[in-house]
Amino acid sequence: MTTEFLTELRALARTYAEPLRATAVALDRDPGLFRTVLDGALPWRQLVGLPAEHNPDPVRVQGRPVLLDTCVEQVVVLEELARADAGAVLALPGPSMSGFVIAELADDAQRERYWSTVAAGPTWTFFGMTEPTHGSDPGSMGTTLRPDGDGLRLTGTKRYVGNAARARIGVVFARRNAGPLGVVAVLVDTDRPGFVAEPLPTLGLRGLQLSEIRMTDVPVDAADVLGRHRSATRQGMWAATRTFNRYRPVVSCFALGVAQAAYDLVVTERRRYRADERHLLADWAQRLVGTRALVLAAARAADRDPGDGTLASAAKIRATRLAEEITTTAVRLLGPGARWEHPLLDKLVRDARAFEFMEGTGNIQRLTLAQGYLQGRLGDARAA
Amino acid sequence: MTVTVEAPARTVDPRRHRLLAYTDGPVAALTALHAATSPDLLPVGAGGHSLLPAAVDARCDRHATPAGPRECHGETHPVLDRIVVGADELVARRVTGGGPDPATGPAWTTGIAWIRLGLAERLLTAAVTHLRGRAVGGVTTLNLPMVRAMVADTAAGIAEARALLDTVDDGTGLRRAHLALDEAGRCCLHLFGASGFLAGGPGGEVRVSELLADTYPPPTELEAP
Repeated sequence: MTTEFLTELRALARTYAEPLRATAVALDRDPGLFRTVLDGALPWRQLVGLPAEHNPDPVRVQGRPVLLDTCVEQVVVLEELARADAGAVLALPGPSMSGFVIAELADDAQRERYWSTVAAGPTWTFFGMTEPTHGSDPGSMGTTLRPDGDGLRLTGTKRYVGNAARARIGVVFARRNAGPLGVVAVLVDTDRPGFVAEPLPTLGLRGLQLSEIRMTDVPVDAADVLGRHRSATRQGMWAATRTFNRYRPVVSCFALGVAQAAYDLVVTERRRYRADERHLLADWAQRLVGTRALVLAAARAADRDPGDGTLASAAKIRATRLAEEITTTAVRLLGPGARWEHPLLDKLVRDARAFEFMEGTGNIQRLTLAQGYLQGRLGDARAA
Repeated sequence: MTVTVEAPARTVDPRRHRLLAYTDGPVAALTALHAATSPDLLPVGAGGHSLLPAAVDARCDRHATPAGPRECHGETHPVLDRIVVGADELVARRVTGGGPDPATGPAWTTGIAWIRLGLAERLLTAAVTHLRGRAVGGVTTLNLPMVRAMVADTAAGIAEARALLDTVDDGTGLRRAHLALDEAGRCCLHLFGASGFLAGGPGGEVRVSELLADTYPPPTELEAP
């Protein structure tokens, strides 16, 4: 994709983002209003990554259909939407992370089942990995998939799962056998007996509706197990790792959008600056440019090889730090009581905190990045 | 004043200067960049200074000005410092009336950024080698999580600079690339402890890298074309 193509795509996304900007504060106060966004001017079906057969009228740029099925397209479009309202973007129905797992693991029947459900209307999905006491560490995973008569039973608790409370279908990771290869991904309809999902009150990104899932002997068929036709090394954790690697540049673009929104707000609301404040704004502008270049590079790397998340970790570290720095410093720049006078700024400050933990905390990203660097996966001069 | 008009600088892939900086250090890379972009010309930054390997400096009989190269005619530009780098040295001069040459300046300035990228990568490689050979309480220093976090922060800064240089199309990107490399250099230097404070050690090359950025900054918003 050329620079010109991506520039046009970004400009188009900016026009799509306008309705989100208008509703951002109201949606934060009452996420239930999100239906009005879906019924309104946002062409959400074209923006959530539905495959061609379910997206008959895709976005077009330079005459080419854009299905948003590459990481590069996603980070360009979703950054602009997040710049208007990151909470609303994360509240969009559609495949989100579970779609990556389907692409990696599903057989034809599972793929048809998933997409016919997701494309039938505004349908939310979920990606159930994280658990209350040990995060996303596969070695400690407590959710189990055990045989029961002719079928299987799913039992365990997942927490901090976006959109789960309103989802119709999603992916749950569970332990079927001991060891890292014993984790499998299961395609689960949320109306099955024993499946309960409830939203968790959060400080920000309220549209995302982070949820807790409690599963008690949820009946599962062998046909629900994703990747069962594949080798043991190409199943649950393999797909989860690749999904995280592909989604981290997307999380980075959300953080970047929030950082850019806070910068925009300061520039709009503040007319006169001291010299040191002008320098600060210039520094922010440069860092936004630099982080955007890094996020795009990470997205290209993820499209090339979803098995390598090194650059994605670098992008997430930089973007999340920038979002927290700009939003919190913007409060000081807009004077005492800024968070009351500018509810959008208060929302941005709260939203920015989420990106630090999404798809792995900053400390985990640092360990991943350091390891990737030591193994020569950054494409630096050593390998050139 | 004598002003000579010359053809624009030859097109040279600046990535090769990065590799030379990585493998052989700043003197070799600056020598190659100079030969590729500005032979016989003393490149001068926006503040009116030059910083070149001594052998290259000695060969220059013209200096850059905003109006084009100018013959030196035996004029001696005051030496501000001589900075020892390994077995070589760099010479810094004040060049009154000098400044970036419109024809060759952009290629030189861009090349400087690529050289700094290679030097940052060279520094991080040296840090990792250094830390692999040390231990704290029986644990290899490189394997301490806090040390790895600093390795990661340095690598992230280098990755940002590289992403910018791969796509840079205006002064903003180039300026940010320099700042990212400044931050990465300082962060990485912490990994060397006191050995990073020795003039002859890795800190010396960080100093050279920072001086190159100070001497040959990219144009500001107002100066950018």
